[in-house]
Formats: sequence, structure tokens, C-alpha cells
Amino acid sequence: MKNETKMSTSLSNMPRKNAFNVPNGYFEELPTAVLAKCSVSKVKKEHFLVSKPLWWSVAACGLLLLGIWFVVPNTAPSSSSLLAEHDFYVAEIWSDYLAQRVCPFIIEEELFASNIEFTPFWEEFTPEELWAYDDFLTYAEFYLFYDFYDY
Amino acid sequence: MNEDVLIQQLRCENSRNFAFRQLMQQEQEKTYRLIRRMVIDHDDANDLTQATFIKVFEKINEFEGKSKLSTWIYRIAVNETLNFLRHKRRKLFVPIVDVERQLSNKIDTGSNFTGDEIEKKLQKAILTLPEKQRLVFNMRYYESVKYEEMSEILGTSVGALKASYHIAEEKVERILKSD
Repeated sequence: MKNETKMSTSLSNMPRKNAFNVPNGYFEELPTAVLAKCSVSKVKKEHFLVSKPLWWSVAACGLLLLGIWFVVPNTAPSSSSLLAEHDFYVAEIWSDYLAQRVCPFIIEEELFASNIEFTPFWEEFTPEELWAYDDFLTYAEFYLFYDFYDY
Repeated sequence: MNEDVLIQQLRCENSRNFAFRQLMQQEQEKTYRLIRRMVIDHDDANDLTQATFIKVFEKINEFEGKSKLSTWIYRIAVNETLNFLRHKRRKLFVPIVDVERQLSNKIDTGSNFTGDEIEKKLQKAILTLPEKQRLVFNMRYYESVKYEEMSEILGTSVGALKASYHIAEEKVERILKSD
């Protein structure tokens, strides 16, 4: 067997036979199968713009968009309301700043002048509270004088 | 049947189906065998043969008659086969060797392959060749297609095809003689 294999392992010695088999009657049935597919593809071949499913889906999408437009309320804030909200917060921070940083000294001076006993406002708070409050005011200051005006 | 008459009948609505059956009887076996040797599996070869002839049926009006009808059909079959193999390669995301190894395994396990050990060895050796070289080898070795016709099918010069076949033949011989 090995000798036989070695003898014929040259292309010139090998018989050019077809070793790939096909099922029985395959070539007799192939033309009919192909022709059946050809007629199916011929029927299917219509332009995509003419196809009914396309127009139905376009109509459905249109209706859906109309529904969304009318039913869902427009909740997005307008730019003018956003500006008004911004101004309100700025005014609030600004008034807080004036009240806590500038006004107490004015009030203290007035109190000194009138010889009325008073407790300075920083003595009403613990040092931690004062630090935290100072941080807040520094942030507010930065926001008001740098972030807001410089840009 | 004369080829010109056959083409005329294929272009005429009334005689189209009859002429197409005639054409298929002439060309189907040769076309199938070429495809089968490239893809090994019968089901794949069947799909590709059907796809080839469906294209022939649909595009017959575009056939200009510059080459023989059989050459044109061969050209479609070759394109379909190469596209199929490329698609398979892309789908698997694996290097070339793995697809060829897959095909080689089909020779061992496929029920429709009846060749002996030597024939199996030959087919596996052919599978080691690059795609186009494999096509050239199969066309020349098994179907004895002329280089001129091959040149029209593959769009390559006769000289390049001769060189390609020679290299392929040497490589296959070398593999067959090894071990």
C-alpha cells in the first residue's frame, strides 16, 4: 500500500478523476430549482419606493411624531426663564454677602456709637461653623466677582 | 444548439425558460465542479451554482458577446466563489490558514468525497495554494481550460497564468512527495 502510494504520488501518474460526488439526480433537478428561484426573484424585484411596507412605515412614523408633539407637554425651560432664575440666585448670594460681610460692620459701628451692649456675630458661632461659612462666602465672592463678571 | 441562437432565445420572453434549461444542461456540471473544488462542501457549491445561474438568467441582456457564453458563466462563477470565500474569512475573523484548514477537514469528514488516500492528499495539497493559484490549478489540471480562456475569466495575462500554474504544480508535487 505504501509503495503504491509512493509510486503514484506524482501529478503525472495520477488519474484525473472526480472524487467529489453529488446526490442522485442532482443535475436533473438543478435547472428546475434555479428557474423556480428566478421567477421568485423576478416577482420580488420592485423598486423600494413602490413597496407598500415602506409607505406604511413612513405613515406610522409620521403619526407617532404628531402624537408626541401634541400629547407630550413642552417641559423644557425657555432661555428667558433660565436667565431669570440665574439673576435671582445671583441677587440672593449678593444680598447674603452684603448682609454678612459689609452690614455687620456698619451695624457694629452704629452700636459702638450708641454705647449699646452687643455680641459680635462671630462669637455666636463655633470656629468650625465660622470656617465653613467663610468657605461659602469665599465661593460666593469668587462666583460674583470672577466667574460672573470676568467672562 | 448554436450559441447565438441560444442567446437570442434567452433574450426572448417566450423561449427563455426552454433555452435556459438547455444552457444549464450544457454548463451546470462544469460550473458546479469548478465551484465544488474551491469550496469543497456540496451545500455551499450548490448555493453558489444556483446563485451563478440566477445571475446569468437576470443579466443575460447585459451579455455583450465579446467572449463565449461559457466563459462569461465561468467568470460569474469565479466571482461568486471568491466573494463567498472572502465573506467566510471576514465572518470568522480568522487568518487564511484556518478557513483552508476547515475545508481540509471537510475532505476527511465529508460524506460526498469518495476519493482514496492519494486523492485526499492531492486535494489537501491543492488547498494549501493561494485562492487564485488554486483556481488556475483546478481549471487547468481538471478541466483543461485553455490559458487564453482563463485569461478572459480571471483578467490576468497568459504569461502570468502559465507561471502561476507552474508554481502551483511544483508546490503540489513537493507536498505529495513529502512524507
